[in-house]
Amino acid sequence: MKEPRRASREGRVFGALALLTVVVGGEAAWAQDFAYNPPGVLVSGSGRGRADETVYVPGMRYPIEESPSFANSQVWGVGGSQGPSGSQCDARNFSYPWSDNYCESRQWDMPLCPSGTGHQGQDIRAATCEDARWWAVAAEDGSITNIGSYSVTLMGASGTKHRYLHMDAGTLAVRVGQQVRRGDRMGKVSNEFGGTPTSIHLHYDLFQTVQGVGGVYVPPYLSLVESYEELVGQEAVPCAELPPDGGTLDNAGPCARFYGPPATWREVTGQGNEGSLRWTYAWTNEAPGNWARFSLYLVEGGEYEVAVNVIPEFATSQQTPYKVRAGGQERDVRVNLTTDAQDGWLVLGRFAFAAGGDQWVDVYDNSGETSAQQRRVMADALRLTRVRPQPDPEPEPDLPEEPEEDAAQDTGAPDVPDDENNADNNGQNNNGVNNGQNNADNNGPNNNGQNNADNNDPNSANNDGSNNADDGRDNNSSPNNANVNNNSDEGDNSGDNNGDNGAGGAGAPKRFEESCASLPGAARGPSGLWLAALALGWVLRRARR
Amino acid sequence: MRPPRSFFWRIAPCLAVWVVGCEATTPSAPPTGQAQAPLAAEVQHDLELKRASAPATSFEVKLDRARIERERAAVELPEGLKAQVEGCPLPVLMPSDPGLRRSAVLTRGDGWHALSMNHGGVNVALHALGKGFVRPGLVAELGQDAPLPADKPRISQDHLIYSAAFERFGVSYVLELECAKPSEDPRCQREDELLSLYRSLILVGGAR
Repeated sequence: MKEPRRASREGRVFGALALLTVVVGGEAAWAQDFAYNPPGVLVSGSGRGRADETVYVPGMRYPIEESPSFANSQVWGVGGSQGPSGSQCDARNFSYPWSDNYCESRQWDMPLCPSGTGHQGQDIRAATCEDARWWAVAAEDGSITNIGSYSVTLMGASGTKHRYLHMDAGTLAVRVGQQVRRGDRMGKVSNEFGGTPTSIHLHYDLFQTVQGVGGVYVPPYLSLVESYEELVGQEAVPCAELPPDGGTLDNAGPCARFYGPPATWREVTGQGNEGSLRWTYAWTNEAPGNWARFSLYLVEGGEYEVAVNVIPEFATSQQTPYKVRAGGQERDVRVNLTTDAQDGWLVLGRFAFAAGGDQWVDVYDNSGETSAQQRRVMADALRLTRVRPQPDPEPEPDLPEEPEEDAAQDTGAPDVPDDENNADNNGQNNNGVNNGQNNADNNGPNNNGQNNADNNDPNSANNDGSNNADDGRDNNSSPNNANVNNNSDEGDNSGDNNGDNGAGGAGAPKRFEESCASLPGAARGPSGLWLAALALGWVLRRARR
Repeated sequence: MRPPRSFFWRIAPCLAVWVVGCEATTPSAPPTGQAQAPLAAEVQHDLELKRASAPATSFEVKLDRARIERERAAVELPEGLKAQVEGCPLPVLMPSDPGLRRSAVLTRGDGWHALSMNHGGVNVALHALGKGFVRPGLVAELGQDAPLPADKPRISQDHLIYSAAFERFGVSYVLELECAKPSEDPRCQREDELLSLYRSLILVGGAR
């Protein structure tokens, strides 16, 4: 099953490149790429999900005829009784990523849900908020076994009972006893609920008999994911990919998820990275009340420095707990947010990330500080910066041929700051490495985070946190720090290229560079190519004559 | 049309260089300064989820024939339905309410049957499942709570449709009650009506 997926991916990448050549700067084209939250990750505050990776009905047909379609919560979505205020037709309800709501809070028995109760199935919205426009279709071959006032039941050939709720009664294309084929139209998605209004959606659930368990509603989420991928011809994408040198994830982006009561995650606009941030009060409790997760998907594995953006007004907790999952390891880190007096990035440490997903950074509100203290935990943005190993100091092969230039490089002005930077960087690196390694070991004497975690003494926490904060500023905010990573060959080259392009950014070459650079990920080419092109054109024209 | 061709020849190398230049530079690493730029969901990639296709195995229920013979009741059924019921390989349960029984439509498949009944503003569905799925992981996960207690239904409700999952004669049944006007009908406000229906179920045939 892996091979077809890989082939499909190649196809998608090809398609993507083809699209890029047509849609210059077409980031918007990616906005509708299918993405979904993992099974068991429910909307913030809507209950405890079941992280079940089983596809209970493999090979089934997605139960809505056309894409796009959006599996998410009605109750906790925009306009829902427990969700943000707004219209059920709000664009946020009709966007990716999907969210599982099989175990969403209900009061009735659901033995497979962590709380013992749940929602039985999955709510699904069709492409648009229009009533009775989009067809629901048979998920597999089978028979229609029951039609109620707002439900239709399909008994599938697999032995699974599929139930569809809220289709428009006037559009039903099936009757009890009718045999249907996979994909046959059954009725149109509506808000039918026996005279009681609900949002326009399809509630879809699966019921199976499991040996030793009996009849149970089984999680439909990944069966829906798989069938939807087949429908759209595209496998799901992660919320974002972090390129090899790292990147920044913002609280407003698709990789940030906020949990716990939404009302106590305060949102502030006009400040913070990308113009918004969230904060909540710290408190003392065994489990967090509010917490946030930044999900990470890295193109390339390696060591990365992890930092969070803090603004003093909203970051007053002195022992904020973070948890970093990197490369299959989870590490606790505690940070004093107040030690950074200015807006800036606070380093959590260095971590060895693997390529791919299932990696994240969490921040929790249960810092151990009392509610009366009114300390604030902030979740704004997360930054990963690649830490590349220092290159071996091998002499360049051209050294003997150009002694004067080398001498100039060794003693000239540009090297002075480099040396300074290197000196600083060594120190900073040591700090950073110590933080990271000690966090990994959870017992090192220099482990600022762990010391904070172990010591409940606020003074101790303060001291340790201050060290962390200092490390964070030095490592991230200063220009010197940018050169830390540039000590590697790749970093230097990138920087040089940038400089060249900036200097050469006038006239015709600028047009060339802009057009190329407008493609995501494209580097700017040397202007010499233009000269070559003109020369080639001249030669060709001469040859034709 | 010589002028256009001439123009094309003039710009063709530039276009070629533009394309080559872009293709060549696209996969390269972004400049260091870009590392701090916000990311969009701009590149597609597989999620590393360990999806498990299932089921690998299925099972067929083992009928408790002694109990079936003991509980078989002589119930009056419409002729067409009676013949269908007798042809069912699984024992057929029906509510005692004659109105519901008269409205019943029976559908059969491989290892299952279902009754759909509409009467007096309620819709009652009763599915009998004689085949199921072997999922050792679920049994292990649920432990002692895994099996349904004998003759005690697992009651659930969503969207005011009440359902009772239970086992009888070794067969897995699920009884569902849906009201035409659920928010106004007290029968769909509490589980009582469903439990009453459940208790009224009688064995009317099948499993010969």
